[in-house]
Amino acid sequence: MIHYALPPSLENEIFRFEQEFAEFRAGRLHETAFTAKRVKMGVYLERNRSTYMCRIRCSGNIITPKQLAGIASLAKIYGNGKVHVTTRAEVQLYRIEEQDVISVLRKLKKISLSCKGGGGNTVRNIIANHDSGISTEEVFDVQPCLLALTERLLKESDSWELPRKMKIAFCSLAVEAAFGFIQDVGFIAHLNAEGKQGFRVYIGGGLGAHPKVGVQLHEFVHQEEVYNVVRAVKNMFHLYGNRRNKHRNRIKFLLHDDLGTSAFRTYYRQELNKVLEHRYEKLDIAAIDNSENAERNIVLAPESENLDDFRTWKKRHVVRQRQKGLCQIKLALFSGNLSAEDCSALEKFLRPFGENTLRFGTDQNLYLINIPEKFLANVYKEILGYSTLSDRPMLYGNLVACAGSQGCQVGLTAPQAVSEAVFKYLDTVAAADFCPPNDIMIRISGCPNACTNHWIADLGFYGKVRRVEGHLIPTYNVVGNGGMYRGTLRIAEKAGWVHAYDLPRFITEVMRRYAHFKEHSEGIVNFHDYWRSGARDIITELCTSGYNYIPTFAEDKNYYFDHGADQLFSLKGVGHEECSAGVYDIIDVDNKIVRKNLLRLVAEKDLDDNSLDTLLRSTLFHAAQMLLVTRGEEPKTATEVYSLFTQHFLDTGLVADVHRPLIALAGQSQTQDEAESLCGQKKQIIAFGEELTALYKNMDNTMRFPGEHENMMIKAANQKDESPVPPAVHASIPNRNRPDRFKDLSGVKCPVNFAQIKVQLFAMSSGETLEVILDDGAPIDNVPISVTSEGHSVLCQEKSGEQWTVLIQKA
Amino acid sequence: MVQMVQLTDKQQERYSRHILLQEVGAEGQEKLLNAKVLVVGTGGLGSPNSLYLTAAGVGTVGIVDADVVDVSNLQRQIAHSTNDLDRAKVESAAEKMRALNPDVEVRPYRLYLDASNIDEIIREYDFVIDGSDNFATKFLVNDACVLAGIPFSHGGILRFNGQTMTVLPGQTACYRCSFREPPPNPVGCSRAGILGAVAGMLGTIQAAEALKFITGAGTLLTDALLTFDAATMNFRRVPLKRRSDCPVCGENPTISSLEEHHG
Repeated sequence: MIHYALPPSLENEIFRFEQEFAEFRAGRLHETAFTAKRVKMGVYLERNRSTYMCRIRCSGNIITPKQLAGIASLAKIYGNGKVHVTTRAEVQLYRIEEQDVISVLRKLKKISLSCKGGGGNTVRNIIANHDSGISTEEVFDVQPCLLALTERLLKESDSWELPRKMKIAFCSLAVEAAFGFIQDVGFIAHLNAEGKQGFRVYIGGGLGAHPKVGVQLHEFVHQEEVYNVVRAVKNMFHLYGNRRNKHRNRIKFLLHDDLGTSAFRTYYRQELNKVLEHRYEKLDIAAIDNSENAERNIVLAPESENLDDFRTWKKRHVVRQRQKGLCQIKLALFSGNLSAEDCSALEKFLRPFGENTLRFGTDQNLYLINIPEKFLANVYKEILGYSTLSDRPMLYGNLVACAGSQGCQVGLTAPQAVSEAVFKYLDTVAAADFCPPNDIMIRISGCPNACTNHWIADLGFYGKVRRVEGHLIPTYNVVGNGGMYRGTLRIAEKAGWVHAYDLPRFITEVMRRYAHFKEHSEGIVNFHDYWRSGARDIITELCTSGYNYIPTFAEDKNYYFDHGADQLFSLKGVGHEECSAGVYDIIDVDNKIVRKNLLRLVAEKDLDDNSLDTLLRSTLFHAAQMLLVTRGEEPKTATEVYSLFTQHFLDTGLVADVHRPLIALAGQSQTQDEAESLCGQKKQIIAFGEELTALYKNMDNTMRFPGEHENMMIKAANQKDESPVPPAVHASIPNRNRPDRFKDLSGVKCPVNFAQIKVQLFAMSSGETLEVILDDGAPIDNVPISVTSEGHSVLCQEKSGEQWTVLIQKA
Repeated sequence: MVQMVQLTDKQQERYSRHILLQEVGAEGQEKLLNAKVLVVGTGGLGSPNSLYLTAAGVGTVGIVDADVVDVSNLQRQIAHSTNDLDRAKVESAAEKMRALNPDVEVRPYRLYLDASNIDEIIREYDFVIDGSDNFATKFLVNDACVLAGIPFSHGGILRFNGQTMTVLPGQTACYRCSFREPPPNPVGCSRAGILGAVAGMLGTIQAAEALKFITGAGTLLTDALLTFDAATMNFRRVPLKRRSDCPVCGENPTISSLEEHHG
């Protein structure tokens, strides 16, 4: 088997999701809570707010022809008839109706595919370069290690409950390893002095609106040790990740901003040591044979072809593999799309060549691999009938575009439609004028989220809305010169902006100039050389002189429409990014209800007994349910809520014992009809609601409450393996009255930590107390002195581990 | 009643060096973010003024200038770059300011200040900085601010010299208390020359005064004229007094309408 094995738990998970879906459709499960569960299963609500997109995990960019045909038939039956390849080498099915989602998931499972972890705060699809195992340039094939890691991580429950998503990639090439630098964890193939296979490990990379290049975490890690690295990073993420602020909660923020690289390394080292002591089972790495087709007898008559077009196609799209006599063939897709019919035809055609014949590229193209050279003409004749970009210049296949406003909830502009316009323009102009350069990568994103990785493009664009005379117009910011240079990754720099309407003209103009530069340069030059030769300024100048003027609406309406749209450009339909919906959103649903109820209970004096009882019951239930999710519990019934609450919050002392009788009373009564009225308990229920909302307020960013020593997520993950519980990293001072305020300043450097304390103190009244966590070293040496020098008192400071808990009283 | 702090985490980090100052603190930073300052002129003095006010997080910064960027400006007017030539100065400066600090609302006014429009504009602001390059405007700003009761900083530079004073109308000496009328044949930078950095020296003093005024930190440069000679680096503080016979802020003012005097 050349693809990953599904986790055994998947059947149950789909079953549970089916129930949750039914609960949601019946209006019994809140939309936010459902969204968090749904995106984890790789199912996204589309921009039309009625149909769904399913994102299918294709680990290591691998898919078999049979799986592809299976997906295609689902696209035809349930979806829009198209199979879409993403830049993370997943396949997406669009326009799935609500009632069909579960059938799609079940049918995918039958062909050994799953959407789980396609979204949400999970370990996302682990990717590699499409030519791992076949490239003549590579260090070694990283796919086997990747698949083993995937299978291990899919089995771990905490892979689905991370503070935020985690992206991992492998690269078998030492030089063209750009992808390794833009992942949460990137593994780049490397041989050590003894010639052992392993990786350089890079951490904290990522693009989005705040692109960061990963920094080296290990100079060399053996293939077998890869799991330990990821386990330690996961533990660290659980411990220090900021679950409360999802916009700043990727490992890159933890590394570059919150902790700093040196503190990050120190904490990582601690976690890695614990992991190593644990002696986890080694990864079971089984090689993939890519030479089979070189010797095997393939039952097919080789054809021949003598056309010039065939030779051009070969030059553009066919590359020899390191396995003698075998080739990889690029099937350049238009914005990653292939029709269901073409997928089925391809499956039929590939049957004689076996299962190990397809890879997805992170450039949204499909690659046929392990094809003996003598069958190239057969391939050529077959795929000519498909709707792909195979007969076009390479530039067309090197243009990566996301769905943008045509599918995605957060897209602003429509990159796929603009690509179509770019091709049309190039077809008419370039054919007559110049030959489009074939060594350039263009990436167009519909918003700053960088799903097409525009920051590593030679020429990149991302959607941006500008306002002219009260109208909104679609435009693109222009970036350029991203990519690998001398072993490190360059993030593209911003050069200007252009309006969407003229983007085809602009791209063609830049291509024309670049082609001219190539023609008049000696030797082999690339876009980077062009950029450095002064093109950056030329492009900036081109933007301002030719593409930044926007005619008034009366002069030219075209600028006020996006490509592919027949309505005036607007931001109507832009929704929330839902992939990050997580634990906090679920808590907030209950929290909001409780707070609203509490207000009503105080304000509305003349409620009749019946409404009062309902209101009290709702308060009690939601307050008790609110924080159970932080303990990994998802109770199904009210009785379960109260018994789990007793176990996690009363028995542990997190919530005062005076509430025990109330919870016991509530736990007994199943339905409102047979229950005795709660009206006599109004005072107690209000107190209970207030205590729980306060407890949530004091919860730290890693879901611990004041006085708690460990992260329950890690505890739960480790308990399953019966491992020793990791010692506390943060610890509060026990047996003391709670401070009025709490601020975790771990990882915050001097003097920003003191500045943040001053902001807290400013908002407090004289005599109130503030508890802060400070790092050892400069913070503990300086901050208390600064605090006292401004007249406030430091009541006590205690050390635990590498950190200090300091209690301050405002003067 | 304790005031709620509205500073975001990002702002706490950005303005941490202000917050650390006991005289400024979180409270002072809040005041800055709620303050409005108008900078008259976007040249030698206006450039450092507007950039420092923006960096400091002054909530609204207005900039007034009718000129376009000329190549001879670039030796000292640091808000403009070579590729801004022939652009309106306020547009060029506004772009830099917005890039420097998105917290700040920048309001560009591309116009000449005169008796007919100045009052309406300055009344929108808490503090005015005069960075103009001619005496007519300096007297106009003085008179308008005194009449409207808006505190301001006067500033002037020539060759190696600079002079500045802060005026709290009705409380401290105004520009006209010492200098009655514009000189008959003034020598300007365009003829006499100016050492580029001198503009920065004086402009940043004015910006510091504005920040002090808003936050209440320190004591202001009032009832005094600070002059310096960068050639020798001598600084001098000349005490001034409010004059009871000042034509604008005295007991029997003769200037009570801008139109009449400056029309």
